[in-house]
Amino acid sequence: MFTMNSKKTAIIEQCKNILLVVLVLSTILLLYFLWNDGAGAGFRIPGSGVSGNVEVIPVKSVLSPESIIVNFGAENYTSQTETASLWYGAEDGDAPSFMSAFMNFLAYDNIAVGAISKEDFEDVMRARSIRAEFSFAIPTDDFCDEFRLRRTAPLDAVDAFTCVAYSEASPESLFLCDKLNDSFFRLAMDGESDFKELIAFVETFDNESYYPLRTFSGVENDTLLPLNAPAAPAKLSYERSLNPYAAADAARIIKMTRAFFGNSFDFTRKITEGNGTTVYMYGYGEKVFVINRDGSFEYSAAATDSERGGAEALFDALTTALDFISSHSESGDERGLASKQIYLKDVRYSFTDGRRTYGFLFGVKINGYKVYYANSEPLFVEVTGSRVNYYKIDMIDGFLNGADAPAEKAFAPFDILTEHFAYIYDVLSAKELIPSVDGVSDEEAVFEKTASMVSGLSYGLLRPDESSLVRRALHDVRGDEVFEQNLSPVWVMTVGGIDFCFDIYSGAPAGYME
Amino acid sequence: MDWTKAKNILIAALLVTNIVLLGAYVLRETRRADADNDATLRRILTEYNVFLETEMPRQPAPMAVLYVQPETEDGARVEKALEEQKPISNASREAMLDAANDILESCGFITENTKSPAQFETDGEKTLIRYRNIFDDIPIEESYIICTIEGGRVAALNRKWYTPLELHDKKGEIIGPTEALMQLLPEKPEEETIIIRGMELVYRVDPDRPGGESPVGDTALPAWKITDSKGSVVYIAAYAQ
Amino acid sequence: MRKIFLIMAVLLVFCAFTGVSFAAADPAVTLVNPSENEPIVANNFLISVKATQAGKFLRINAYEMQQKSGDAWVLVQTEELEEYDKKKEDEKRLVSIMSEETFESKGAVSFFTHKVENIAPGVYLIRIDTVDATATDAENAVLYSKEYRILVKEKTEEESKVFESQKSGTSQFLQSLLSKIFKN
Repeated sequence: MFTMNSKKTAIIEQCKNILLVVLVLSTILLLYFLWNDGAGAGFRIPGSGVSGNVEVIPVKSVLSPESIIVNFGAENYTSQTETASLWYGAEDGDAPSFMSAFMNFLAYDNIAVGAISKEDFEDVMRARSIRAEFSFAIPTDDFCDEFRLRRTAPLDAVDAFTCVAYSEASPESLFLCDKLNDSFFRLAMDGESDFKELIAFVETFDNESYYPLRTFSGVENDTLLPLNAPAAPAKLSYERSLNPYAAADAARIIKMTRAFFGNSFDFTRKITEGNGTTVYMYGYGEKVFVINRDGSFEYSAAATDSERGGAEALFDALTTALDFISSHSESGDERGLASKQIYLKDVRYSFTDGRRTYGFLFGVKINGYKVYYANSEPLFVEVTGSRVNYYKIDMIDGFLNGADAPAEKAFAPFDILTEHFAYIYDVLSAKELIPSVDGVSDEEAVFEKTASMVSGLSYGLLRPDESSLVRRALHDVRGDEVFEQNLSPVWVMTVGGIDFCFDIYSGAPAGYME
Repeated sequence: MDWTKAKNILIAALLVTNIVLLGAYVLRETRRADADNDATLRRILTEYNVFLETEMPRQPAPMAVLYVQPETEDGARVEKALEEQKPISNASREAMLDAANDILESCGFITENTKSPAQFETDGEKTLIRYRNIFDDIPIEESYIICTIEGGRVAALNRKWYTPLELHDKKGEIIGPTEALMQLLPEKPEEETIIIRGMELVYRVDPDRPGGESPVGDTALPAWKITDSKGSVVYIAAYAQ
Repeated sequence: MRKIFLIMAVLLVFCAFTGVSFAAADPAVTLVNPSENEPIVANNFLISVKATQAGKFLRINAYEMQQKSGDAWVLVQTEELEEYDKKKEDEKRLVSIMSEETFESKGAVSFFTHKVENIAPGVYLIRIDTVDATATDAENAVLYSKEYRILVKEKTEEESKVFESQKSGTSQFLQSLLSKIFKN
């Protein structure tokens, strides 16, 4: 009896074992059928997908004055073009900074604000003074909110500023100016500001001497020029960060494209044009991504109903733009590459469907030098509310050369004008941007007229016009090689609104940009 | 540990799991097969003056987008083929079809996608033979070849063709025919009566696109093609949103 | 009559000598900066010389103008200039503050620039000579010469204030507030 029972038990256990195995296998099979019908989890209209690099770019890293100009008195100037640490202060310490002086000034009670004339402003700045110049207007209230500066009612009189200035000729004052709209304001308080100390601090640096053009040439023009030539940057070879003609970049380009569409990338329409342009389109143009034949990338998106809300302040929009840039860039191997940094070059204000729209134009610095593009721009992002509605990128990477080239001395800056004023005059004259000089054979008069229209001088690296190269690339089997070019070090002199480029060593003209 | 007890518990748990999974799978398949309660749908449509005179298609399985290559007309080759054709021996459909096929063959237009049966339409003295572009049993719209037979010969050949290249590697859920029909209703003028004579799932290349140049590559997306009694055609995007 | 002719002859010779010792200014060469008319209030200045003709060979020098005060030589101050001019030659001297610079003008308009630093308040002299580079005799090489007197002053606290009213922010604010109240 006992033996029979145990035999029966053994058979039952055996059956259970088999049943267990069958059930496990059938579970796996059913799971496979359910989840692997190819649809995955289906899809929904996404927000933006995220590409590889999500290191957020802080506002401070892209926003700082284009220059900080110090007048030590009696027409002795210096101009700082690397302004971030003087503007925000060094990370480690308590050295004086422009922002801390600005913040402390605004912290005073009873600040009176009044409009002044341009002449009064220029007069007061002839004394020992310091001013920070931006290349675009910043709304005062947005700026104060972003950087936590105290904003009292009288400050409402100043809508926006391009320049913040202090002069020892009026030590109780601070000046906010919007030079684009020719408006100048004086803020006066009852106390002592930190700007005097800031000027003294800058005076301890090894400063490059600048003088107004007036001092060099006798021509009435306050544009500052350096007295001496700097140690010039070396040439750098470069190529596109992502080259649509290079097979090696294809996977990264697809990855970047996916970031714009998220999950819906798999259901977008892809159109390849005969000229080499590729267009990805979702819906009826709700999102469009274009890979241009010149190697630049463009994205545009229409607003959906759910996206019609969102903040409209400048810095909120800038943060949106920077978040978008970080989550849609695709970086590759950075070994052997020169350092690269974007900076905010311009802000364009407009309205879309009655809502404020910000167009952020970014420049790029490679190895610390500004890169001037002959016929495009590195990066442009347009934001309405909390949505990016347009994005265009044309980015390059610079290569560190094998051995460090010795820094050659640059061509003397003022000599650029004296040697090439006739060429500049001819270009401006052809474009009807300069009044004609009576007796154009009077070269001194031509020089004076041209010198009077100089509005800036800087130096950096020039990315040449590649349009002829793009045409070749379509017919070149190894297309990824034709884009290797050099960034040439140049002086850039702005005359009559046109940027004239000159080889930084020889001073020879190297084209111009409008 | 009482291994016998453990086995019993495991078996019970796995049984329950299998039942649940099987139920989910069957439910989904049933929804696809019989997603539309036909009668309810027809009643709702009637209220909007939309009448269904066709069989409702089944719920399709998920589909991927199809990459295609637009073909450009080679006018010279077509003209040569038309000039060199032999006259059609008799007025039968078979003869006309043979003649049309010969022309297409000589132009290299017969591919695995040029499907028959071709459709015949009569327009007065002319007979039009329409070939469709079919990929994986799904028509590509609006892609066709139309041979016009007149006076005992192929008088004209009109071709708009997308050569299918490959499917994308990911598929997406497709909305059912009911949902597609519902999308017609908001745009429809209230008084207008629509009689739907045909409804099928197609791959469609939208003729509206950015840029001015003729593309060398494009994408066909799944769409429901709805044809009414007047011959008007509406395409409803088929991906679930 | 003879006396008149004699006086005229003497005057003519005198003018001629004067012409030799102070050669005429080169019309194609100008000192753009610093200006003789504007005193400098700083411890440095930028010399900028403009030449409006190619092929000019210039020599540029800058000096302190010094006068004897007892046994020492001191820098002449602005207010002492009139007296300085009356002094005898052995009581005044010029001391170089820079090495002589030479410059050849190229093109229709060219400039020479040089920064002079670490200077004290006083009177300085800038001399610009246009020389004949081919002349073998150094003395006769000078074709033109011009001297400029540059005044350098001490910085004072009395800089002209652009904004006359130095009322503090507080009092201004209160004033405007009061005027608003009384207006209403």
